[in-house]
Amino acid sequence: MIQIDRRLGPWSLRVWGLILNLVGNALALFGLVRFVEEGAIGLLVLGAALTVACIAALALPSPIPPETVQEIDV
Amino acid sequence: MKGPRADLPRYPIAQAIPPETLDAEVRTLQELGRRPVPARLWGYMKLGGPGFMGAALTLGAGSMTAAMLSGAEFGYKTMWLIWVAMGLGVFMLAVMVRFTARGGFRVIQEQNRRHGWIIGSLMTALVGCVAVAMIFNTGQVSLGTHLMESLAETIGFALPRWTAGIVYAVLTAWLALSYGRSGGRGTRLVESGMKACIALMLVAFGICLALVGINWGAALKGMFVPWLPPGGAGVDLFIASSAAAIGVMDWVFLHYAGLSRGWGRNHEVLGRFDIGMGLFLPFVVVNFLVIALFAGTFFSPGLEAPGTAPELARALAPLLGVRGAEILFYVGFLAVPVTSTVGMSLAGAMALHEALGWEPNVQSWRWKISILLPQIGFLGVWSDNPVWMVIAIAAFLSLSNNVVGWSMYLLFNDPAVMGADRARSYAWNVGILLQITLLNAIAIVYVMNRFGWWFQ
Repeated sequence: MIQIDRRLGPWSLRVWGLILNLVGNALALFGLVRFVEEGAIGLLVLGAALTVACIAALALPSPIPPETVQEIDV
Repeated sequence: MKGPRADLPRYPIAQAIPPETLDAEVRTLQELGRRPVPARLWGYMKLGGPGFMGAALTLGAGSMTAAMLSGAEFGYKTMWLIWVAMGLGVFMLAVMVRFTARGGFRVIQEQNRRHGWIIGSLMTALVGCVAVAMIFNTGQVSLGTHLMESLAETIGFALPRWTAGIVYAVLTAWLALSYGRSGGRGTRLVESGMKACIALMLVAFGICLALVGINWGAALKGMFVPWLPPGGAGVDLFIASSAAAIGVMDWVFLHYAGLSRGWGRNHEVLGRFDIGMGLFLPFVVVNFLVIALFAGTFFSPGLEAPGTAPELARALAPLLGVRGAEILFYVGFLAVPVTSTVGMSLAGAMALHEALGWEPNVQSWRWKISILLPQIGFLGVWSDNPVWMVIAIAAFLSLSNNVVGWSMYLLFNDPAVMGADRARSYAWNVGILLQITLLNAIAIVYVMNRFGWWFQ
């Protein structure tokens, strides 16, 4: 289980994840241009995979300690 | 866990509302929760307001121009973008409602505290709200005065645009300055006015569409079958439409408009309803009606339609066939820029006060001047948009909106900020991150365009 709120250097893994997501988005968009203009799909797949992985990890809510749970409410 | 600000005093604009009025509203909400769904929905509709204000703010010259051009150029094919764009925006709007109802803070102040003044006061408040309100209001004034001129001509008298500009400025200034006055009655007046204007848009465009006719098969296909023009144009359209429906100003305005109503923990359900029925639904339906109107009249492969909103409106009106419908179309369309100007004035004033650390006082000259700042848009009578300013602001917006989105996501997921009220839904976070990804795409495409790396 990823400890998404753990700090790594100056920032939490959430912040690093957002930055990595941005990198993935950029790779995907560069890859999209290359795919449409040259037919090369590698960069697009890499960028899309990185984006999906980052979103999947960043969507994890922070765990709430059992003793502080109040009403169950989204 | 959560910081010590859970018991903050009410937002200053809400302090004018008598406590017994707020208590009665809470009792009404609790009673509505026990009633059958139709009665509950009607009750929420009457109590709601910030969501409708958000719809009125969002439905402006820009979005209407996009809808008109979309219908004229692509017919019904890009209708699906409407609900996808707004649907993605709903996740972040729900975060704003959570901040309002359970955060115990004012979001720009909290951003300054946690993430620094560059993200809070500068990017979110001054650029995302104040500068946008001042610069983009010229487009609203330009559209509004063109429509008033056309309406007067249709009725049978001449109205010079500078006269129309004065009438427009006085009307919108009066409405915006009424907000927060008279113990909260001014707030309800403005909210009711915005609700009435949205109803007017729906009725006016609906009647016009009934006269023009609609190809239901094509429209339903366009609503549910994704289609984009080929190549880079399609990608551009998807990114721009998806990310442009809801932005920083909408997030901030919904949050502070809820605080101005004195909303608290008991209001989160009402707030979510307000987003759904007051913002999402009117936005989708009005855009649907406008796209369908122009798809049914101007869409023809190879035909070049007029390029600006006033030109499109002028070209459409005679095609409605009935003079009353022409007048109704202009009146309904006029509600679009008027409500946007009022919304922008309020959002800009709230944000400016937060950015500079001022407490909003609707009786003060500071507040009144802040409200009136977007009236610089009066220049729109003579010029659609000051191009260089639009370009500069659009550049900064493109490169900063995503960072503001990151800030909101982080606040929402921060145990020290939200405590047990922080994000607990994986799906909700996915929705927020999809919107952030689209905002990232705007920034990246902007840079790629500058360097000539994007589709040519």
